[in-house]
Amino acid sequence: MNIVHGKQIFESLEELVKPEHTAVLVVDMQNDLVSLEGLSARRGGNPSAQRDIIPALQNLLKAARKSRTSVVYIQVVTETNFASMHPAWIYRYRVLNWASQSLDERVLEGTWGADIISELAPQTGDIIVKKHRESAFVGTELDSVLRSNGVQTVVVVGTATGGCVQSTTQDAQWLDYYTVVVRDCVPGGTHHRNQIGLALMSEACDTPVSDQLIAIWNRS
Amino acid sequence: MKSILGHDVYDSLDELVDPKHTAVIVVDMQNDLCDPEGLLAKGGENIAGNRVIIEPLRVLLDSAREAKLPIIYIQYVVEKNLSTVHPAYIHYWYRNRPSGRNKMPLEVCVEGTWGHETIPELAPQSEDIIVRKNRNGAFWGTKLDQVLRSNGIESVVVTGTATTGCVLETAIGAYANDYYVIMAKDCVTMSNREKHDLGVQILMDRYDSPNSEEIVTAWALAKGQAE
Repeated sequence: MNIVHGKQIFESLEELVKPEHTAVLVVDMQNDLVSLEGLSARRGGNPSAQRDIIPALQNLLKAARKSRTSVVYIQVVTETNFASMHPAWIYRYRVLNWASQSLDERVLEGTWGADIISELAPQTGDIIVKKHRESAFVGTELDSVLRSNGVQTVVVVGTATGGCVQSTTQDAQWLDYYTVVVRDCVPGGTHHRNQIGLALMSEACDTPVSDQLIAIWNRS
Repeated sequence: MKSILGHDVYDSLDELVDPKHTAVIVVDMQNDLCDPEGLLAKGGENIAGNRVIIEPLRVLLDSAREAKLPIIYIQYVVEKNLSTVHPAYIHYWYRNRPSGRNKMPLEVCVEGTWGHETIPELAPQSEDIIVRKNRNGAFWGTKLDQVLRSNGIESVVVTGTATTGCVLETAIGAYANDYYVIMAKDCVTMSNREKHDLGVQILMDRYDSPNSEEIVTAWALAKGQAE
């Protein structure tokens, strides 16, 4: 622990991720984005980078729950009446053709595609926060939920590295959370957005591998 | 302290206003709104009601400084180019101020003018924090929440003007952002006394509402214990 201007500042990774003030944010590990039968795969996408992180995530979440570190699932959804779609957001998809994806083919609320993949199914005591944008803090109860439970540090995992994970990590930082991104629990692969995302986050926050966190949580 | 559903919850006034985690918020005590030469008075409003809190508030702030509490001055500001004034805001500004009762122009507390400054009787000191706002509630579009969190603040003592306007909306904003809210009952005010009484009723219903003397006593006690 450091003292700077009379304020106590966490210093070691061990202090940063203490179970009593830490939450793991599992971002968008949902059927439509990760499963072999999901929307993304059906449209010709290859979710292998997303699937590669599943075993490491399983181990990480197991150690988190055992040490009573909070687990928060972030679930991206589009309401079936498209009430949450803003023109500027639609522009990004349709005009910039950013995701080569039809507007009607979204992760629809209440469908199997929106469910968290069965390999990482939420357990009793976990928290689920639905969102409509990349960042899990925009227009959601996430900040309020975290503060209500004394969370000071978020450990961000899930997909996509250069998209929702990065947006969520950045917002967490500006909302005054200590932020940690687990290097082997965000998709890597050759996609340039994943690589750029991880490179930028490595500069902005701690990016340990899952084994380091598991060792700390198993000791506590 | 009470333990409820696994959470430690402050209970007594001493805990609520503990100098270690409390800040005082002074809302809109500015020349245009509180000085006899200001625009509100010049518009024909009787501002005597706004001035009755100056003395108890001054005593409260002296005590807060002695106990080393952060003091945050909220200043309403209209940018010179009116860039922060929204059409809907203009609509309500005039709707809530029918001509004849109060002819206050929209350009009040304009940045860089004397009218924007905090009244000299309560002048901010060098270590105080100033947060400017463009709407009623001091949490909307400002750095207030960030400043409070950066300094470990959990409770806010709300003072200033106007009881049913900026004070009430700031109190609601503080509560919505998970702060304990304490209204210093004799340190909130507005020129319209009927509306003031109504506002105090609402605030008392919702939040802790001690007199400033009780808060000063709690701070003096905490200071004595710390020494």
